[in-house]
Amino acid sequence: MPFMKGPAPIRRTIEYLDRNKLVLKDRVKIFSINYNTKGDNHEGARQFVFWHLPQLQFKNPNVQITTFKNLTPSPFIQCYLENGEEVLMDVDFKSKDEIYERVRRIICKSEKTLKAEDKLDNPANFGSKCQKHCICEVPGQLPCPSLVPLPKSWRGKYKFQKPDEL
Amino acid sequence: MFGSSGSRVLNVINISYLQSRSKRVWVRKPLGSPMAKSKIFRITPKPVIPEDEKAEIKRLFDNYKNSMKSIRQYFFEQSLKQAESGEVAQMKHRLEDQEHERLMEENRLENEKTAMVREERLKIQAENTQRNVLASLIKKEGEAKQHEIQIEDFLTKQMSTPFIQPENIEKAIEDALANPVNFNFALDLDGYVYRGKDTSIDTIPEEKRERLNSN
Repeated sequence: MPFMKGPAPIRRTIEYLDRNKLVLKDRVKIFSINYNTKGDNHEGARQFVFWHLPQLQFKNPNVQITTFKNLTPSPFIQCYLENGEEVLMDVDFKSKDEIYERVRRIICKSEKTLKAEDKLDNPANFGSKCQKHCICEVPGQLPCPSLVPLPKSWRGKYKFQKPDEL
Repeated sequence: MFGSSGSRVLNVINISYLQSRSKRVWVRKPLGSPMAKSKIFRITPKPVIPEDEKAEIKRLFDNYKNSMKSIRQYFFEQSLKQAESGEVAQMKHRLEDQEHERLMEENRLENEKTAMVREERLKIQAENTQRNVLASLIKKEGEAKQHEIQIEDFLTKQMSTPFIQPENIEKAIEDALANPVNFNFALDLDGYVYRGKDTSIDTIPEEKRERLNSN
C-alpha cells in the first residue's frame, strides 16, 4: 500500500484525530486563531494550527473554527461564547505545547467532566455507543419483550385504554 | 430441506434464551435458498394511484409529519428546560460559572505577562534596528565620499589631456594637414620595423633601422 500523500499525513488518520483531549466546553461556539506565515513569534501558533487544529475540529464538529493569516503583528486565539463573551488568548512567542496546554486548561472540558460524560466506560448507559445495547441483555433483568410479551397489565396500551373506545 | 435443527429454536436474534415447545413456527425463508418455482416469473401488480390523490396523500402526510416533529422537538426542549431548572442542575451551573470566572482571570493574567514580555522584546528590537540603520547610514556616507574623490581624480586626469578647444581648431586642422600620420609598417624576422607604405628596404642603411621595442 503506498504512502499517504502530503506533509505529515498522520494528522489525517482516525487514531491521531481521536487521541486528544481537546473537547471544547459547550458554551464555546466559535474558535478563531490569528497568525502570520512568517515571523518567529508566530512559530508556536503555526505549529499548533498544523498539528492540533484537525484534532480540535474532529472532536468538536459543531464549533466553527477559523484561521486568519497575516493580519496582525502578534498571534492570538479568540473564542466566542454563547452569551456573547469573548475569550482572548495572547500566544505571542509561545511554543505549540504551551498553547495546547493553555487551550485545554481554559476552554476545554476537564478530565473529570469527560469521564462523567463518557458513555462507553459507564456500564449504566445503554445504547449504540455503549457496552450493552439494551438492559434486556443483562442477566437477571426482564427478557426482551420482542421475545417474551409483557403481561397485559404492564402494557400501557391496555392499562390506559377505555372500554368504550375499543 | 432448509436445515432446521431438531430442538425447534425460534429463529430470532437472542437465540439461546427461549425454546418453544409447540409446533415449529415458520418465521422466514432461509437467506440462501432459491425462489420457489411458483414464484419466479411472478410480476406483482404495482398499485396505480392517480396523481392528484397522490398529491393529496403526500400533503396530508407532510402536514402530519411536520406537526409531529415540531411537537416532539418542543417536548424535548421543555424536558431539557425542566432538567435545567432542578436544584442539582442549578448548583452545577453555579459551580461551572465560578470555575469559568476563575479560568478567565487566569487567562487574563497570562495575557498580561505575555504582553510585558512582548514589550521588552519590541524595545530591544527597536534599539537594534536604530543602531543598524545608523551604522549603515554612516557607511553609506563614507562610501559616497570615496566615490566623490574618485570622480575628482578621474576628472582632473581627463582635463590634463590635450583637448582641442574651439580656438585652436584651425591651427589643429593645419597641423593635421601638414603632418599626415601613416600607420602602415612591416616587420622583419630579425625584429626590425620598416614604417611607411612605399618605403623599400634598400633605401635605409643598416644602422638606421628601428628595432621593435617589446614594451
